[in-house]
Amino acid sequence: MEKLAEPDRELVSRILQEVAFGERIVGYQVRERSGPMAKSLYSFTEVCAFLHDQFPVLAFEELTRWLKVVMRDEELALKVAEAVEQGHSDYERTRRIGEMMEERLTQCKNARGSKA
Amino acid sequence: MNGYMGEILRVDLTRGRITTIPTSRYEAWVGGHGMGSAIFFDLVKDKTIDGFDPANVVTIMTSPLCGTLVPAGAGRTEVQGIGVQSYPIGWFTRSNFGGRFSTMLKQAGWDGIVIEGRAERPVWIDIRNRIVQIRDCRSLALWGMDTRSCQERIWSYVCGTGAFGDWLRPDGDEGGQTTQRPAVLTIGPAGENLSRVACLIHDAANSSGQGGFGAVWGSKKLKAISVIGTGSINVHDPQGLMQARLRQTKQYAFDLNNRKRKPLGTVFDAFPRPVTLWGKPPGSQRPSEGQRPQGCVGCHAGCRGRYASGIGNEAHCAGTAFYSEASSLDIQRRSSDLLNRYGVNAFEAWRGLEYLRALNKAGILGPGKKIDFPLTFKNFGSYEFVEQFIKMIAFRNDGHGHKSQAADDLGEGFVRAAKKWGRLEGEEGDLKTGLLNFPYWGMPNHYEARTELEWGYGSILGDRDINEHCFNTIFWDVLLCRFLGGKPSATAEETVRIYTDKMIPFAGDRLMMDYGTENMYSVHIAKLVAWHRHYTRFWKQSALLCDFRWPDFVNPYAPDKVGSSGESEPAFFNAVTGRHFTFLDGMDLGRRIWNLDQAIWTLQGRHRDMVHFADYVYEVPYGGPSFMPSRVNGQWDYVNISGRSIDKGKFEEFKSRFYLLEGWDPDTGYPSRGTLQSLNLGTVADELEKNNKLGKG
Amino acid sequence: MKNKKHAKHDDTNGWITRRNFLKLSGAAAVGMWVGKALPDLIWIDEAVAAIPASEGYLLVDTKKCQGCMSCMLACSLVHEGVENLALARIQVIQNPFERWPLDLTIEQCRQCVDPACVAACPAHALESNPRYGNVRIVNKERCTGCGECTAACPYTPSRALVVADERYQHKEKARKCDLCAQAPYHWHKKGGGPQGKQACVEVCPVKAIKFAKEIPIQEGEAGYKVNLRDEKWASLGYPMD
Repeated sequence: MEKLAEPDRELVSRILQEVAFGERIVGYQVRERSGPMAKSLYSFTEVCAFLHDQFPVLAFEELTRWLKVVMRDEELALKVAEAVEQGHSDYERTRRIGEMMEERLTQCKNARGSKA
Repeated sequence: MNGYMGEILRVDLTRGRITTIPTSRYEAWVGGHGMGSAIFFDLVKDKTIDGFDPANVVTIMTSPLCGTLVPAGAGRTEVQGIGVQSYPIGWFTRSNFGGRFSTMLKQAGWDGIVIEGRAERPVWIDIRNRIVQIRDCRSLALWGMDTRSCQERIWSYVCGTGAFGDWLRPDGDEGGQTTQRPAVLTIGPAGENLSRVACLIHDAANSSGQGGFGAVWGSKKLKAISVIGTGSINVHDPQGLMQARLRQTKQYAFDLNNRKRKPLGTVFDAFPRPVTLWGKPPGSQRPSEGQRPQGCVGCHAGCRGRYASGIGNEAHCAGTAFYSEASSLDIQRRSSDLLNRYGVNAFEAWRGLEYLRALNKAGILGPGKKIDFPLTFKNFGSYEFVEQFIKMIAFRNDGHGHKSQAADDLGEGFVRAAKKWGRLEGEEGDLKTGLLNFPYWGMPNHYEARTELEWGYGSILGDRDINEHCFNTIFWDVLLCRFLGGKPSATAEETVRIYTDKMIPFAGDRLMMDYGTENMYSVHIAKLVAWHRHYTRFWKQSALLCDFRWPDFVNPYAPDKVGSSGESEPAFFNAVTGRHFTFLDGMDLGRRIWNLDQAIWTLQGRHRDMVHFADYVYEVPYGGPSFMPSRVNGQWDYVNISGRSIDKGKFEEFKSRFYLLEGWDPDTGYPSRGTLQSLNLGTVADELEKNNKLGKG
Repeated sequence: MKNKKHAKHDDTNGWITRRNFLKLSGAAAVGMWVGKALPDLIWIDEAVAAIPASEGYLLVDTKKCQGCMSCMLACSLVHEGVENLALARIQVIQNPFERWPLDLTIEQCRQCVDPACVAACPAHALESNPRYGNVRIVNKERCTGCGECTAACPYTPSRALVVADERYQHKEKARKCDLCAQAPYHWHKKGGGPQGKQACVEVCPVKAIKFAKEIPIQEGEAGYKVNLRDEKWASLGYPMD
């Protein structure tokens, strides 16, 4: 899959900071026997970590919207939508999306680090 | 009396008096919950008292199966009394725990313990076979200790200076001998400080979690009960029991050489693996260090573990789901230990912390904020943070020994705290939006009321989060397949058929298992809920079969996947007791016990009008995953039932159907004389009538 | 948790190792007993034992055990007809707060090649019983309940136990592991002993107890506390070493 384009400064800033309370995204942490629990995620970083959980449930449409509207990362939102369409199971989709988001996060951290 | 020891210990802490109750007086209730409810009904004349009232009676009951070879049927102990955790009323409630306490109690010669009154100063109860003493905590400085230190101190005291692992005679040279250490049930600082979410802890992490019994003991100034016994439990048919055990495990338990399905946690054929939900880095649910599985007495597949680091020994399930935001797995494991050492209910701490963090993120809660809270979330993820948080709940102060009103509020439980903080008012109240995810009687969410119907309905028609996974296995089986691919253990049609065939006396009604929206308020679902209440009241809470392994519905090792439930439960029961008990007898007794409990709640003040979920359950669609059986166009399938809420008006209709099914007055929910008398509970009807709480019919 | 006492060596300081032993005739064996003293043993190519070695042994894996004590419950059930951890001839001792693997030990009878309990019994009530593969068995008719066997056992806890026996008018009688040879409530038509089935072996949910015919190394614990874990066990997330 194609790599993501390098993010600009504004995107780096949005990706690496927390969002306002009203802009959080809610997933469901699903760990066996404890029940699916609503989990509020307050940053791109937290969403990435969440997607690495064992069986994370995050409504894909909601994630796409959040990336588009809150993070304003159109490119990533599009790639996520593609991954959803092409995936064969939710697990596969989630893992693929997690990888892409991790890639974006690394780009942003490197960009911030190289500036420092 | 096969399976029984013949006497129940009765301890009056006010008078410092120890007497006994003959077990035969309550033998009709068999054991566990049934006996506990009956004893409570007799001894607590005024059922409206608060859980902190000295007249509250706490029962700690075994069953005839405890301490025997019944697989996943020997290790539990049932605790009951008026709780202090549920809201708005502390219902008469229950909580049970595993380990070796019930075995040791029976070997000491006791079928249970009844605690009443309040001691003048902190005490602990020292039971060594038939020698029972109420001891002042001061001599061992127990009051103030965490649960581990307390147990270790008591072990040393009772066992003397003998080498660990050698024979010792706990009640003197003329008494019996054992190599075992006393089984101790204790409260931690949370109970001592009357935190409503305090629990009772046994060994490293067996906990009687719900109900706030830790605080009830704390109000009685009871720190711990220690029991060591060397006696024998009679078994009606020793050979038969051994044969039944080996046959059951050979035919229905796990086989490493012949794995049949994805690992599931709460099935009879589960592997012996710790059910730990630790997980910070990707995929690391279990620590990668030396470890063993660990099981309760007699269990055929332990669900806990002990580790080379000793960290998080025996920690389990919700106790390990807590603080997944910890910055390392090590910190998360140590936070499990903190919960157990301080004696704090894991579910409340876990869901409550999620709520506090949301309020902090919203800018409402924190040092100097509108809710002036001494915990800064700047170090969220650290060990210092979680230690302070747990100490706040346990000590009802800022976690460093200083007063804090907000922290003291936490000791009241999160719903009461939220109410005090004004967070439950108006249209944006946190129980309306679901920000405070506590749907039933002020207890934290466990399984989703809007989709897992037997769970939500059973909880709100009862007294607490039911925490009974009998049907929940279907949820996991299907969900894991959705995630990982592959097929569930059985098709929806097979699941429905196998389950409903076993659900006597309602067997045959397939629609009991239709979780679809069209059916969710029907009499069929009322039967599902009723069956579940009756089965668990007897077979799991009175006979004390473990929730993690029973019932055995769908079993991939069995012919046609038909598990052993319906046959094995009574077979084991009769092998131990010598009775000719049928599965239906157990269901009937479960119904009787359930009716007695409803009578107690009615006397406590329950009316159908108060039987309601938190508002968000009605107003906010459930956004998480759920696939359960439903019939669509005449075909059974696992259907996505996410995205729905409960219709409040239709729920009212459902309640009426349920009450009618149970033979209760649909106008009030009160049990009726006709029903109670048919269950040989005429005296219960008399008491309801005396209090103007008898239902019509 | 180490044994406080150690297996006694023979007087020549020779090792009693895993070897094939010649079985002496009964008369010659009896002649060598002098009260409670151990018989002299001469270290030759083939060591000569005073009494025949057992044809069966229990080996345990203390790292694998799940601490459920099913073995203890099964032992007391088939031997005594009741459930009582204190009457089990195999003992599992645990500390829930301790680190693995020190949190748990299994202490089983070793069917010692050179059994101190047999030597100590003044009533000759403890014997290697040829009918049951020379398993060291208490003859309850002869037993006086004196407790010398429990005192003589070099292991902690002592493997022999002396308790009141209701089948003998509540007189005290010794009991010890007999590999289920004489278990009165044995569940299987094959019965127990080295040719039959042992309750603890059969019931252990994780197969942490194994029956073996070969004589284990007598010195120390390595002969009796062994590794019974394999790849299938490891696939559950447990260590193999």
